Amino acid sequence: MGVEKNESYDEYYPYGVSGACEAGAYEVSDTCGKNSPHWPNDAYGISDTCEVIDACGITDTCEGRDMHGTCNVCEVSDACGSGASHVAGDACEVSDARGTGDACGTCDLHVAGDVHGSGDVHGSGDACEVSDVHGTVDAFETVDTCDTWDTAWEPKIVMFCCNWCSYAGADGAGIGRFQQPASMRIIRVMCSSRVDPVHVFNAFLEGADAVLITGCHLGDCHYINGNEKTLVKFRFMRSMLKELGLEEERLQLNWISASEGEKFAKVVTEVTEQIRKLGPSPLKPKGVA
Amino acid sequence: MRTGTEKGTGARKGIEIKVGDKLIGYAVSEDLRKRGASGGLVTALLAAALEKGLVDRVLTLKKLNEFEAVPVFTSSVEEVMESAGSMHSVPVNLARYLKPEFFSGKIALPAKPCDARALVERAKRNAVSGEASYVIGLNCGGTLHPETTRKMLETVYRLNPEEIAREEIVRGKLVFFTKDGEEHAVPMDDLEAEGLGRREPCRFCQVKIPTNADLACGNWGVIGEFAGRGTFVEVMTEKGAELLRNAIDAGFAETVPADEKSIAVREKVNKVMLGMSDKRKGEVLAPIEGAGERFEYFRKALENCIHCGACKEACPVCTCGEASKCTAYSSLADSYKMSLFHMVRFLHLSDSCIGCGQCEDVCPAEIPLTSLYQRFAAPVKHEYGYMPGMSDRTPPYFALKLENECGCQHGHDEGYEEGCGGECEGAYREEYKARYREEPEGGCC
Repeated sequence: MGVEKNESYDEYYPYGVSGACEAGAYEVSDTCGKNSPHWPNDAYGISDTCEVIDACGITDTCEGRDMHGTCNVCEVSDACGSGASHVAGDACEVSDARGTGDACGTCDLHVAGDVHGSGDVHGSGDACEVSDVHGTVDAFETVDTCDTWDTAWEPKIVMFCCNWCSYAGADGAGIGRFQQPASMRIIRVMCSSRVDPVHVFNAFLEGADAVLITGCHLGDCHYINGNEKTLVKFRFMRSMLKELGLEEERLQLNWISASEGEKFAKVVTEVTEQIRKLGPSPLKPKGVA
Repeated sequence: MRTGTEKGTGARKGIEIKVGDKLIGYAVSEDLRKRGASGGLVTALLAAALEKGLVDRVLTLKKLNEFEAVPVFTSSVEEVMESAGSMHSVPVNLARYLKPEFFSGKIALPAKPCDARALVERAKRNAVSGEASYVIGLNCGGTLHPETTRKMLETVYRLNPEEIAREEIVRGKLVFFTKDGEEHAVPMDDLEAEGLGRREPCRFCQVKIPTNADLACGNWGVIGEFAGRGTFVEVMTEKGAELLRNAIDAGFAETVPADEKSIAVREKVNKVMLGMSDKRKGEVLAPIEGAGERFEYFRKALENCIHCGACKEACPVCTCGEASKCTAYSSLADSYKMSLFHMVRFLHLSDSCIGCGQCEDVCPAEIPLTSLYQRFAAPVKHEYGYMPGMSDRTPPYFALKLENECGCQHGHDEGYEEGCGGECEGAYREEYKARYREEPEGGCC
């Protein structure tokens, strides 16, 4: 065995005597191939132990695309494919299908289509792909840099509150420390009749899972009959959204007065639960939580 | 000017015409009686109204050829006379042209049931004056697209379109009369089974006799000696009586009372036509299966929409103009799952859509819009007992207050779920049943 010393190495290899990258020093047992050159910017490095017999025991075929790091472990039967980078601690991907059971290393790169099963371990710094599917019971999201909305879905409900009764009722709920889930996005309007179907539809189209319209009790409207008009509009909107395929519960009308802080909290809690059971709205755009 | 007393079998000069009268009428002029559809009464009424100054102008269709016509406003009696004849292949909605920028003063027009319904709805929205419009309603079994007509002539009837003298729909058959005097008839059902025949919205239209117009004219019930040469006319309003009286006094038209048999035949034909419509409606508006499928159905139906806005422009009931919410708050740049334009239109048309099909005719993406809008309109019709365009009742969306469940206007003390307690003694229920041939939803009476 032995490869002829190639004089042209001297031109390309200014390593000199101290260079460990002496021609012939590696190629003796190098099965990379005849005349396989080690170039100055060879990723193999000076302390490259020459992959003949990789630590994992399988003869590395040393593909051109392989990047061998200093502490490189074998890739012979690596199913990773081109550009795969393996680092310390990397468990040999011989049978790695990049699927469940993958014990990801700290700098493991996942490609599109990677599926994390419930047993997946994410290390810090894990750069997950967008198409990663995270189950709702995935416990690893603490430092996961994947999707921003990796957490379990929470209902997001837009609530229109009339200034004189319902909004004051909301304040009352807060002052009285009545507990309620943080699902409501409250929009104060002067009267519930200000709410136009365009506002409601826009809320749904932007990603609200439900819309609540609240106002003064019938007969108590600050503007005499505004809430009666709300009721007329509400029935039309309900009928239309139901026909469109939105469940009835997603649009609700409630009369809540200023003194009914506890009722406010109760309504919020109940509606949130109802919507949690129904799931995200069909009108929600993709990518919105 | 002929006085009409010497000619004809029953000149009615000086005889009282009252609301509710059912008569057979025809044009006095022999030429008009021949050229006009079923005796040319409608043309005679329009011409007489113009001649005697009852109206300032007439909106009618000016023929370009047998299959095409354009709407014209005219104050020329001759032009009105020339427009005689029914045109089944011109599915235009004349009410759309009743805008202040197109005409002023009093106007008379022939109107299919959908034209009349659109006019009534436009009047409610102050886009046209109801008092200044003399509406001569025409019975209608359905219209055809001109291209479909040509296709039918070429492939099914194997006739040259140039050879057609006139067309008629008789007892479920589409009949073409060629210039050589021959008749060529094919059952409408057969044509429609092949995707030809009437426009889709016409197939499930719910109003065949325009009882919402001033006069309801047609050839259903015209039998015996008058067949083909007389028009059955029902006087619906005082304005209609005025129109008819005017035409008779001016010597343009004559009438005789319709006998029991004619009235019965007309009722029967109407019932048959409505039955066919109901059947088609059940097919077109079949319930959408599957719990999560509804939204997907609508999303998919609308996915080719290019947001040209033609449906809104063509809609005869839409009177918002440029400042409409449907266009103001939607944009092509939005990437929502459904456009706000469609959602707002679905809502606004749920108490306004008359099912005329103009939207579907103009849609460049060929979306079956009429059936989509009717899906939203049907539950509202049931819930409120309201049929747009058939009466002067305020559209329920404009109500300041929720009506009682049974739709009557009696007051109530508490809550909106209870009805009036039976005070209206079921009168509303009877009226609803007579008009819409079905029971009203819910309610106390």
